[in-house]
Amino acid sequence: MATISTDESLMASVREGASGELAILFDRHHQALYEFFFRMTADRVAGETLVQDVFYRILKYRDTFRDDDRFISWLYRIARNAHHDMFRKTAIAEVCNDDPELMRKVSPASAEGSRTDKSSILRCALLKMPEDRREMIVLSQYHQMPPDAIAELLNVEVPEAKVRVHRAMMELRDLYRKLSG
Amino acid sequence: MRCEEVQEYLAERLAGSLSDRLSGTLQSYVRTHMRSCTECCEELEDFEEMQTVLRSIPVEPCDTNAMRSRFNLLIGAREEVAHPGPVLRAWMLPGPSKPVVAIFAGIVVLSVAVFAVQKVVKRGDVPVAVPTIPAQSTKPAAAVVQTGAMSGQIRTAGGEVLRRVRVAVVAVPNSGMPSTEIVVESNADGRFRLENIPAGRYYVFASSIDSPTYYPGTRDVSGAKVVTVQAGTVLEGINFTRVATVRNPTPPAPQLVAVDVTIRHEFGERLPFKPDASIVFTSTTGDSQIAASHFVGNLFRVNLPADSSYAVSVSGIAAGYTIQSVVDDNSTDLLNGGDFSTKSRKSVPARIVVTLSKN
Repeated sequence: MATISTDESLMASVREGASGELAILFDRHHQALYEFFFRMTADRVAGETLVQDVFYRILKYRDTFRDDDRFISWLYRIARNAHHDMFRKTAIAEVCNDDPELMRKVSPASAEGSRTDKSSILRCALLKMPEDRREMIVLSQYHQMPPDAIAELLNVEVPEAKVRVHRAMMELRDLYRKLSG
Repeated sequence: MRCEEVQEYLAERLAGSLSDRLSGTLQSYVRTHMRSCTECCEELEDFEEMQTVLRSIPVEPCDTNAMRSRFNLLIGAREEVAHPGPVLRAWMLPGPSKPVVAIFAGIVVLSVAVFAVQKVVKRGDVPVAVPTIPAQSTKPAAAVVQTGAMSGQIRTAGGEVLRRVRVAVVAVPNSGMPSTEIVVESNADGRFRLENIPAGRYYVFASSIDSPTYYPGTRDVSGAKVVTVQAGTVLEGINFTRVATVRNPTPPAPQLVAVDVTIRHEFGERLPFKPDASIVFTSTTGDSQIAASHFVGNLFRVNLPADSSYAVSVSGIAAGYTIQSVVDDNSTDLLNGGDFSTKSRKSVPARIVVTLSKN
């Protein structure tokens, strides 16, 4: 059985000029990246565009990938930057306020919530959070990225990464409670 | 156990950093504490509820085919410049200045000044794409980009208008243009209008769930007509017909069967994070091999061509674990010589469960 190339060795090949190897990395990661962006933006078109932007940036900045980098951490560092650049000037929280459907659900009249309502409220709470905290939630809760990978991505020590995840979850809970009335 | 310790436990748990063994022992302490402490109890319940609800928030499916087409255009653009010219060789050179030289060379060779990220403004009758210039923009001149616009309508071969179809322009690779890409959705009348397109040569394409149709109506990029956008002008009448896939009498492209692969512990315990676990499907006819690896949780999806059989192998499992079984939803034992078949699959996605046991 042929051995499988790790993400790191593929990325090293891409860096040395074998752009075609990027196709394998695209196959492996585009879905997860899209989900990351969708959860960050709640916008399909934005999500798809950002995935494209990430692969463009990978090619552009491929020389910054070092052999001791973990690919996943490097990839999501690029993803965060791409997302940050796109939404620098956009107040994402407005998404919720402008959505009458969501506002109706959030209003106390329907406080006796089903799962769908809870899910809408939490989704809204998530989108209202500051970007850096929202990232912590998405990466740790959906992508189950372990603290050491998050630490590498943020360029901080592991205990600090744990603290940030915890703090983000507390903040989300408070916001969720507030919105639930 | 005191409240502070329980808080610490919760923080660790949220960060997903507790090992199986520890969590078992700790959990009984935590449970004892919870019986007498309503505050901690509420907090744990809150977090658990939140985690459950978080996972139930749906993700709108993305158009993988369109994404792949765009990705292929990107790769295609790079491969042509991969023949090492004198400038390109510079970034192969070792030395402390390598990254700087490399980035510089990349910029010169690709003429990449701007990558326009777009956002769709949902206002008015016709969606309008507004490209923005990211911080990495390296040429100051990019601030005054001369732009034009185009508009048109998209229909099916039967003449019906197509609404909510994404229409995009992508700069023709190697046309000396920044790698611009702008996307909008067609409105209720199938009309679209793309604005602020930097002057240059573009492919225009529409994509629906099946695959992209290039203007003026071809599935193949080689048949696409290059549209030249001039500064300050609006190109009207970029009308095209989507090439149908469903009623096409020619043999359809090989269909894909989605396969969800789950890796689980024999007693349902939480598995350690392991980014390198991968699964390889080798076609029994020997002509293709499809590999997938994952890191998102314990589940990942692979798309395999239909009507084929594959030998399956799993590797990269965390140290200390052994693969106990690999079974699909037809109860085929894939670990001991059984082949995974995508023939006449009734349930989609198909499922493969990899069960591990601790050594």
